[in-house]
Amino acid sequence: MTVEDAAAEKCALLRQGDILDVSSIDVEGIRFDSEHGAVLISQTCDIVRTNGRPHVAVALVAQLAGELAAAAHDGKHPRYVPISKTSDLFADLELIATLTKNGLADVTVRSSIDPTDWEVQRVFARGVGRRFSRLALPDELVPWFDPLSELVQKKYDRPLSRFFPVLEVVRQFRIEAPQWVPPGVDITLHIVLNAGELPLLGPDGVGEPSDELTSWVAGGRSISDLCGRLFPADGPRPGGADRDLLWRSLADALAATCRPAARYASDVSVQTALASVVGQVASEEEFTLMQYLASAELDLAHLSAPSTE
Amino acid sequence: MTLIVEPTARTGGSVDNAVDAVTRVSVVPPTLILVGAAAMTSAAILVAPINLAIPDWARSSTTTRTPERVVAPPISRDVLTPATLLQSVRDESGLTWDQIARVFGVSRRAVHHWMAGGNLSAHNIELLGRFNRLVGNLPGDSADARKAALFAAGPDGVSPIDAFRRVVATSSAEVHPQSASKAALLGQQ
Repeated sequence: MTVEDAAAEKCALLRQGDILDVSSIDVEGIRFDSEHGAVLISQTCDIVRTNGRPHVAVALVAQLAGELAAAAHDGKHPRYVPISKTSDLFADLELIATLTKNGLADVTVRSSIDPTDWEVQRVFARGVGRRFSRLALPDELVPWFDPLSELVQKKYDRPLSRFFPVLEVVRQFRIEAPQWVPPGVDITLHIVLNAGELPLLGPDGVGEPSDELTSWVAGGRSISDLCGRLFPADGPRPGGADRDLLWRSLADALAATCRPAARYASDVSVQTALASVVGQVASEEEFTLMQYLASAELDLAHLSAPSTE
Repeated sequence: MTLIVEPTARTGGSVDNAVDAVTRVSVVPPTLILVGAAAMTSAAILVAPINLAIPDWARSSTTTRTPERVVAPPISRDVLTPATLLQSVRDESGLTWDQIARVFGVSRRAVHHWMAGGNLSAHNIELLGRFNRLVGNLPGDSADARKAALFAAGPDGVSPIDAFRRVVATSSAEVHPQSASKAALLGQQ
């Protein structure tokens, strides 16, 4: 059997997420010892197919503990992707190397993602993709979204907060702009909700909200107030046009949080980067492909650098 | 009749400034003042050039008027919000809410929210102004007639409404990578 045949036979059994038993990897000529091996991050189809695909990409496996591991499991560190839900081993996407498939013929596999657990495979693949496919938000725009990022991150760990149930039905925060080059970027903040959270539209919309709620909202309400009406601690949740109005008002309130902190007051490039932010709420099944392609998921975990790295 | 921007919305008085105020306004959508009584369909809410593949009859000389000629002395002043402009577009074109949402590439809920006073981005305000002008330049003296003109295929087989949809579709920066070619998807590249 030739080396190529042996490698092809071996690669046919490998999958993304497999940890290879290698003692080190070379990153731009620098050797990094890998006590815990290196994990395959190439897609499985690229690993298995040898025709025209002679290489695979691997990332150093890092063992994390404590708060760092917990935060990485929560997706707050795009650099570290958990290899399984319970493992303390993570793919370190800062340290990536390319290996030839022919060199894998004699390499053993330390452990593998359960090939029948599609969810684990998907989470790992999504984590790897996230690191490299995020929208490269211009630096001047990042401070505008810090308050929203902080709000979400702070509340996400507090199930008793009024904002927590809101986050549970938010599918994604997405941002869209006609163009992304500062100054003067006009942004639409899309709050995309789980199907069924917003009332189904009739031929002419959702009808009129109650007079009481309309005047209450018109008084100018805080995010906390709006969340409290959307998810009351006791009693039934509002429905129909009232719920629609509350979500629309919350979208406006969340968009209004997008302001740079006072420390950027004299930073002209930041102050002029953004011209407007408009909040818009939608149900996941009514968000169009055109809107999806023109928008990017707001990676709130990554925005609040440098604490995420 | 001509649309001008309310003085509180940062206008210096000319249409050029009005356009700038409409397209650059921050967060709070602009309130527009409707001057005159019956020229909604020829309103020059925005005079930015448009590049639509629409028939000549759908273009009006109002698009090339100078600001001085466009701004007429006020006869009456009715507040025109994006919602009232949207309602006018619907009334004049005979389009359904669903069709209007598709014109702007948004969900129907977004259109209903705009109608209920929700904020539009400056970009959508600009598109709304352009579409209003397109509808206003359609031939016909009824909504049905204008709707028929809107859907009528031109010599190139493209109707004005579809031409406008193409403009909208390409007016936002796509943040996702271009779709792969079929050959790439089949692994042949």
